[in-house]
Amino acid sequence: MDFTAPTPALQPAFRMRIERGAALSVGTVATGGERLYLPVTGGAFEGEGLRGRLAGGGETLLARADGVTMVEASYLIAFPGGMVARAFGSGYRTGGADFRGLRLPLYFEVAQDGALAALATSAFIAAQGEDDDVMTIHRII
Amino acid sequence: MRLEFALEMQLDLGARRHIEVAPGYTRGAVLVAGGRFSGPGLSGRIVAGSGGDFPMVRADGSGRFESQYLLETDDGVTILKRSTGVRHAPPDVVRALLAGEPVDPHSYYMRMTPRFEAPRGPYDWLGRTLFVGVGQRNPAGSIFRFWKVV
Repeated sequence: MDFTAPTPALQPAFRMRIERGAALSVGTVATGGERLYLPVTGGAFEGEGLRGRLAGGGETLLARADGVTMVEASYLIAFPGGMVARAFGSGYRTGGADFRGLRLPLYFEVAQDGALAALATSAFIAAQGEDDDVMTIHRII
Repeated sequence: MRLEFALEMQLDLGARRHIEVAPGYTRGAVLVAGGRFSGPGLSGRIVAGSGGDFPMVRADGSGRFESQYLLETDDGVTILKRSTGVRHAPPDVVRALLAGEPVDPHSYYMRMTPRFEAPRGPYDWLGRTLFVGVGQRNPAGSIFRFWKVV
C-alpha cells in the first residue's frame, strides 16, 4: 500500500485577549538569558461557540542573548457552569523582520469526559503580533 | 500565518516498551534505531539510540506523545529535537495501528509541534521557528513531515 500523509493547514478557531500583570524578573540565569514571569490577570476567550474568561495562568520567559525569547505559557480559562480548560505550550517571542510578537503551539487539558473534551484532541498554533489586541488560535488540521 | 514545507524525517524504530503508570494510562517507549531527514537546506541522519518516542496512551487509544532525540546533519552539526503532539483516531484504526498493520494516514489525526536546539550557524533558525508536523505510522517506522510557520 502506498499512502501519503495529509498536508496540514491552519484553521482559525479561537481568539483570546490576555491581560498581563507586572513582570517579575529572576535576573540573568545560568541557562543563557533573563528569566521573567508575566502573570495573567484577566482576559477573554471566544470561538467555536465557546465563550470564557481567563481566570489564571502566566507566561514564563527566558530572554536569550541572541534576541529570541522562549515563552512557556499556561492559561486557565473558566467557562459558564464551572468548566475550566488549561491551554499550555512553549514557543517564541521574536522581534525580527519576518514576525514581531508571540507565537506558540497550544494544547488543551480538559476534564476527559466533559463537554470540552474535544479540545484535547487537536493541536493548535497561537499568534499575537506586537500590535495585536488579541491572540488568534488556529487549529492544525 | 502560513505553512512552508521544511523537512521530512524517516524514523526507524526499535522494540516498543510499555509502562503502565496508572490504570488506563500507559507510557510507551520506542527508541530510535536510526533514520534520515532532508529538506531545503538541510539533510542528515537520526542518531541511533539518542532517544525515542514516549507516547502517553489512554485506554481508548488516543493520547499525547513526547519525543526527544538527536539529529546529525551531513556537515556534522548535532541538533536536539523535542516534540509534543496529539493522536486521535477511531477505535478500529487504533487497533490496526497498534497491531502494526498498514493504515491510511488520513484515517487518524496525528499532529505535532517540534522544537529544535541548534548551535549558532547555518541551522540556528531551527531554534527560533515554530513547526507543525504530520505523522504517519508505518509497520517498520514513522514518517514525519514538518512545515515552518511563517
